[in-house]
Amino acid sequence: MSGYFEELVQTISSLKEQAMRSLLTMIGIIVGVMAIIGIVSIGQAGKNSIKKDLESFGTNIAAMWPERRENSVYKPLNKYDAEFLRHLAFIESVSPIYYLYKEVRYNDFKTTTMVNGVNEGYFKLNNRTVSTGRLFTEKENTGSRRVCVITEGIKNDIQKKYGIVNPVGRIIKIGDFPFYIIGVLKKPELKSFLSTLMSEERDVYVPENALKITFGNFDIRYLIFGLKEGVKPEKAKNSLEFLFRLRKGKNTYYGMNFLESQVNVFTGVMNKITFIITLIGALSLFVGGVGIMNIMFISVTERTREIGIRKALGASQNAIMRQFLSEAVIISFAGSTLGVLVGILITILIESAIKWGIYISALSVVISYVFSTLIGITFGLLPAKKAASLNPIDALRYE
Amino acid sequence: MKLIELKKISKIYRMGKIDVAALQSIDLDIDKGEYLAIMGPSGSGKSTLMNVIGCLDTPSSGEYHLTGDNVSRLSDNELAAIRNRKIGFVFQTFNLLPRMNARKNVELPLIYSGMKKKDREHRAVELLEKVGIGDRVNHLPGELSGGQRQKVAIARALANNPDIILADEPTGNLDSRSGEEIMKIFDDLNKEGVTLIVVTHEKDIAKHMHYIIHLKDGLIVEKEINGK
Ligand SMILES: Nc1ncnc2c1ncn2[C@@H]1O[C@H](COP(=O)(O)OP(=O)(O)O)[C@@H](O)[C@H]1O
Ligand SMILES: [Mg+2]
Repeated sequence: MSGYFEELVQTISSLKEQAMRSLLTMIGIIVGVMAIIGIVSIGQAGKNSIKKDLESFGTNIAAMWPERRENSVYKPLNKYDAEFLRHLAFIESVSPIYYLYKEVRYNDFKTTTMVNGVNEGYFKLNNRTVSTGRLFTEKENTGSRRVCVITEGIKNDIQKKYGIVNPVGRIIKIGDFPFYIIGVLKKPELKSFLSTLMSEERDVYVPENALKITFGNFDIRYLIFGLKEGVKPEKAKNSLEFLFRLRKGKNTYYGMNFLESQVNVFTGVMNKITFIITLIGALSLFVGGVGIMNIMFISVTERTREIGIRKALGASQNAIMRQFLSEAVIISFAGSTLGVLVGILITILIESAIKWGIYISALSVVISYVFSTLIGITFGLLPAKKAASLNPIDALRYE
Repeated sequence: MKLIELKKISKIYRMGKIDVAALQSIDLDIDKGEYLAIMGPSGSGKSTLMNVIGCLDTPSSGEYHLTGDNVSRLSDNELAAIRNRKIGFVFQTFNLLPRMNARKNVELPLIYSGMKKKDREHRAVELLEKVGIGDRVNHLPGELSGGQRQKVAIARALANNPDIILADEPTGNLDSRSGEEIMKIFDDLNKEGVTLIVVTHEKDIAKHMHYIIHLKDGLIVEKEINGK
């Protein structure tokens, strides 16, 4: 047993002497392991972040809006449509959205932004809460009270300009009309791509009735609704298309967007990318294996005389085989260790840049380790066999 | 007691269409404790004979008994084990592994015989002291003179207490003074009872041995007993 160890030490020291060559040989393995660990981990981090975001929504939300298409007439949605939706068995809750772009002012601070008219249920549906103040009530909505909930963007602007830390209780002007600030919305803590769907730098939210009374009665822009748990987006979409054609006329068209199907699309794309890059990684491992085989054949040729000497001194075929196999395994093992280390580092860098949360797939580490060792053995086998079967006399005579 | 028994040993090399007979029906018995030289012109089959005796090569025909066992038809691995335990080689070109120091070179046969590290190191140093270079154990071959390298090779050949030492022109690459030193070591080893076969060109070297086998064209042409 101690002999094996001694051989191993010799092998390692001879590899160290040719560090550059060993490193170049390892590149295929390093890149392969890196790619596999990186993509599997990042892909999983992406899926994890979406899952977390979805959990923060609670319900599976969707949007619906009228669309003008070829051969279809544009029929806006109205409050009866919202009512209709609310009464469907597979729908949890509905919130109609009205919006306008208006100038919002506080003293000398001015900005033009999206002013949303929503009902009190909107916030619950979207799982939104306030960081200070409160949301508006049903009564305030039905009473068309001129109150508003602002977003972080406007709050920060006012704070920067006037040093007002808590804007609740102040009055801002939307267009020419004063509105009481009653709360500031907490920024949604979304980590996945969903955050890009929810961008709202300086939006303002007011009761829908207040918006209509103040700026004129106009149409619903779109409806947000939540599906009951377990309802499949495709099923709901089919039913709604059918029902709305009955309701609004054969030649109408309503666009729909389901969070869950977007997530599914994203996950699907992610899975495909993961698969392709893993394949490239595996290919790189294979190429790395061929590289190892190549360098091993060179090494066997270079050390023909050494092999002859060892055989003359009593090395069995197995001993020579072991020596060269262990060299191949050490190269691939060192390569995959480097690959794992660099791979983890790069993965963490990428993950912290895209803010999906730090995640390293332990499975990918284990599998790439095992796989690269197998590759070392497989591709080292032929050169090691060649070394082991050398005729000692020919080997000794080799110049 | 017969250590080596060669019966009608032939070695034929096939060179294209021509057969070259490096050894032709050699009969040779060597007893334990003998000290003999093999001489002959270049290409007469001296090295081939040594390789067959050393189990590095197998004869094309004939029988070879080493310490009573028929070794002429053994497998590669069985021959490796015999080389390891029963044979010690000393080559003209030393054949040390250049990246290992003297001690590690001597340890090599001990690794293959499975000796424990501690014992191995101890034994290697002991052997290097025995051949007179106990002060060079950590030197690489490149840091040693030719004579010193050959001493390391002799220590290595002695590692597993072999039945026989085979030296193929051991002084061929050495100046005469180093050559004499090597021969002195061989003489001493033989006095301790070690069997040695030495291939040489030089009459002066051959004088050290009990008798000389003369080879020509793969045949033993003369057995000359030294008068000493
Ligand atoms: N591997 C080989 N292939 C072909 N011929 C060989 C081989 N080895 C030795 N010979 C031939 O066998 C003969 C004996 O060679 P060798 O034993 O090396 O001679 P010596 O050591 O006496 O100079 C020579 O004619 C040589 O050319
Ligand atoms: Mg020769």
